[in-house]
Amino acid sequence: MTIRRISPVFLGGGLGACARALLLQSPVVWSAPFPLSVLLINLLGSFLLGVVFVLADEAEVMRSETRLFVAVGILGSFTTFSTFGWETVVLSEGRHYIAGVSYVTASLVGGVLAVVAGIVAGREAVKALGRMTHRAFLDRGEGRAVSPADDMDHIETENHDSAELA
Amino acid sequence: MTAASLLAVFLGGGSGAATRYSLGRFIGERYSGGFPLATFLINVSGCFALGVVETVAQNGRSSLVIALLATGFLGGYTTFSTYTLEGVILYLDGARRTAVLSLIGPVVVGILAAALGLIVGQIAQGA
Repeated sequence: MTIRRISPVFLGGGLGACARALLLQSPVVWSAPFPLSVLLINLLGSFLLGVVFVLADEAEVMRSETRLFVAVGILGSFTTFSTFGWETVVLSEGRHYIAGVSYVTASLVGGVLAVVAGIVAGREAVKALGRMTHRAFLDRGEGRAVSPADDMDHIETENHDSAELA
Repeated sequence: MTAASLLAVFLGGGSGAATRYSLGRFIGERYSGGFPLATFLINVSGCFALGVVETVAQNGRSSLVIALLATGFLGGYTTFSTYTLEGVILYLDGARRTAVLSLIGPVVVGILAAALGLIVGQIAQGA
């Protein structure tokens, strides 16, 4: 367990938890009968993780430290299962059974849909970036047949070029 | 939220995430089944612990301790995003039964664990 791997997890984890804590302070979303804030946080985090999964594991355009920082660290800490479980118990203790069932269902179904949406969005983003990068290479006269996937590792550093051509 | 509370959340959250990661690797190296056992154990244990902490903390104990332990550590230790992603990936990979089990299992067991934590917390207070 190297420092190099733990550090981004710790740092990201701290930031993710802070983001969650600050958002949970907002009184706005407590008008719902169940903990809407936690639900939205978990759904957003799941969506983003779907995107990161595509970038890191499918397209492999993310460095492992970045992946540890964002996925394991930030998003892992931003979302929370314990609060979800506890809030459900609280609702049940208060005899708000319908709210409890709604909360669990919304979290479970919503979470799955959010991840799927994230994966779809991530794949679309990768394809779009690939097309832009591919065009960039063709436009620059580098005639060789380049598949969009080959140039994925340039995306992080050459984003400004892609943006200019878009 | 005070700066001290936020710092407590940061340190707790970072520690929780680091613990989740280390424990995840530890379990992953020893268990090679398709079921996401590490995330399951981490989330369920976190639910139990939060049940205890939240119940015991009802005495109005230092909010700084709550920020550190509950919001920070346990919030960072458990994860909803990893749990849903693992379930979806299993399903997309064709392991449908395992996927459904991995999604429903933690919810049922986690809620029961949190309830158990509440009971234990009450017992601890009564003692």
